[in-house]
Amino acid sequence: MELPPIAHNNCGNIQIVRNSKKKYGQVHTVINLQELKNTLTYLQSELYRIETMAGTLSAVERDHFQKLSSYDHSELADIAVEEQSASRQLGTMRQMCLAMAQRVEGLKKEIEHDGEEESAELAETH
Amino acid sequence: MIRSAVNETVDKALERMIRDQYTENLFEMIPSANKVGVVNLMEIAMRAKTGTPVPRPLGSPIHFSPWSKLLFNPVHLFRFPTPEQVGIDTSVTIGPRARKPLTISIPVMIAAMSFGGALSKNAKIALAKAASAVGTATNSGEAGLLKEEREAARLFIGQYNRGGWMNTPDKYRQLDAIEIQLGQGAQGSSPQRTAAKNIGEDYREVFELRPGEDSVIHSRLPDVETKEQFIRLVRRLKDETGVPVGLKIAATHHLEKELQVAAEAEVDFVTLDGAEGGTHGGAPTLQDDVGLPTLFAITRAARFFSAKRLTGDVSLIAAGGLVTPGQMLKALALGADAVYIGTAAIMALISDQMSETMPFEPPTSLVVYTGKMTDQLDVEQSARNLARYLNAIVSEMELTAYSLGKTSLKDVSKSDLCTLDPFIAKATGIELGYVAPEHQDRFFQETEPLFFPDQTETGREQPESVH
Repeated sequence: MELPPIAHNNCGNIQIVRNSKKKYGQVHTVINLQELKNTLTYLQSELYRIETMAGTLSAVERDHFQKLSSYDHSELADIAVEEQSASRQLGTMRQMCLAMAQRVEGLKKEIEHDGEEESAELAETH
Repeated sequence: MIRSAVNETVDKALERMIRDQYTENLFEMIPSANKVGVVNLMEIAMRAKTGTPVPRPLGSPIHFSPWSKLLFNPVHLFRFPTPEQVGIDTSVTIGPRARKPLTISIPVMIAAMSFGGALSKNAKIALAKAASAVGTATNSGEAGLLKEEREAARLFIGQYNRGGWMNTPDKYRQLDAIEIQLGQGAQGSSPQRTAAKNIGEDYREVFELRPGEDSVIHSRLPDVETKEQFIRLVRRLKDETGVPVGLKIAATHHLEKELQVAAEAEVDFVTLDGAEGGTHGGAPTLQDDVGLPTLFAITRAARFFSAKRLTGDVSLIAAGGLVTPGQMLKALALGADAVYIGTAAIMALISDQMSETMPFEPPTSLVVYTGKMTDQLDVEQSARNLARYLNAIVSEMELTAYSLGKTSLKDVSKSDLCTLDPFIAKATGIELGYVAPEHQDRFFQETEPLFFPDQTETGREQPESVH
């Protein structure tokens, strides 16, 4: 008997079950959806953490740029320019983290949505 | 003694110029050069000498885009300027719809200038190093994949080109974005050829040419003869790589028709190269008499994307004749997401090394592929110069953003500008600086007979003829 694409396991978690033909016959790949959701939540919270750190460091670098610019010294002026550029790049990291966190949120919603649909289908079958 | 000799010579020359018949007078050079123009005079002589089109470097000397007619509007009380402790966001994401979008830290990128066709290997590496230092991207130009450039560039946009040199998966899969090159501001979509005698060993290797073979840029992309084939190509490259896939064209009055095809192909970005665009060397007619100015191209493209609800989905990149940070910020305000700079980047690169070449060679001989002094370019110093320049121009843009009360360069828009030209106001939708915002309509109604006397006459007559 073929396994349904999504089924409840013993712990009540939803599982994706994929059938794939391999050299030595049929292989079932099982991905625990709840585990996947947990991982995505972890990644999202870490991304927000990095985003906050990048924002803080960007402000620190900007402050350093302003302080270093006040000296009439060519080497310090060069370092100041690097600090300013670093501040911008950290700002960019912040934006990238936000964009990635949004994508993760999208994935989480998609999984939830798919899971709900499949559960409903399963309930109807039973 | 020298003084008196010079005095006597000048006196005699002046006397002769006054006395001699005008047609036999050396002074006739002044009005005739004035009539023809010094540039044209020299290019007439060059054409007469070679019998071939003149390869003028760095693009048209004509300033087509009236950037100086636009001014930013600072704020003080009705809206407050941005506090100085707030950082201005300068990052931009190119192709946000792509599976792997390209995010750059500043809205300025290094324009397409090819290795071999235009620049030396050292110059390309210096450009890539500078771009990486400030977190932006550099562009391959119409070339093959130069390994050293790819390694030096953290973010590398490659041109899928009409020569076919970057068009195989082993090459374009190494890129961070793919720009399908169908034309450029200084050359339109015309074919170009580099003679084998100007092609060295390293050039041949990167372009995979046989000894004695010319490198040829065709007017059309290989295997793209129809709109459908172009659409299929874009989709295939997107599927295969996941990186942003865009289109680069020379700006043209057919712009909206071209953009319609680009929209159907679902490109991730469009690069518009205005008529002011630079080049390593191109026919003056293509530079001076072909294309559409950058300012109007960007305005029209932004309006097109807005009408098609594609703003924010398809990135718009402005190129062509952008020399000052003010011009670059104005291009962003008109709707560009980022800009490319070529000529200005090259000048910044060689800035303090110009003295090595002067007065007997032009400064560009340090960077162009066929230049006599390319081996004397200090790559690290050049990269530092350009990185400092990029930092400086973005800082100037940030200062303007503070004054406009903005926290991101992305937020600077047409409403932050006014214009000193009524025609630009009408064409672009930017308010006219002569009168208050609430009097704009009245001003144009009252002055219509001055701007369009014939049309107004016809307009008056039309209702009568209808009845």
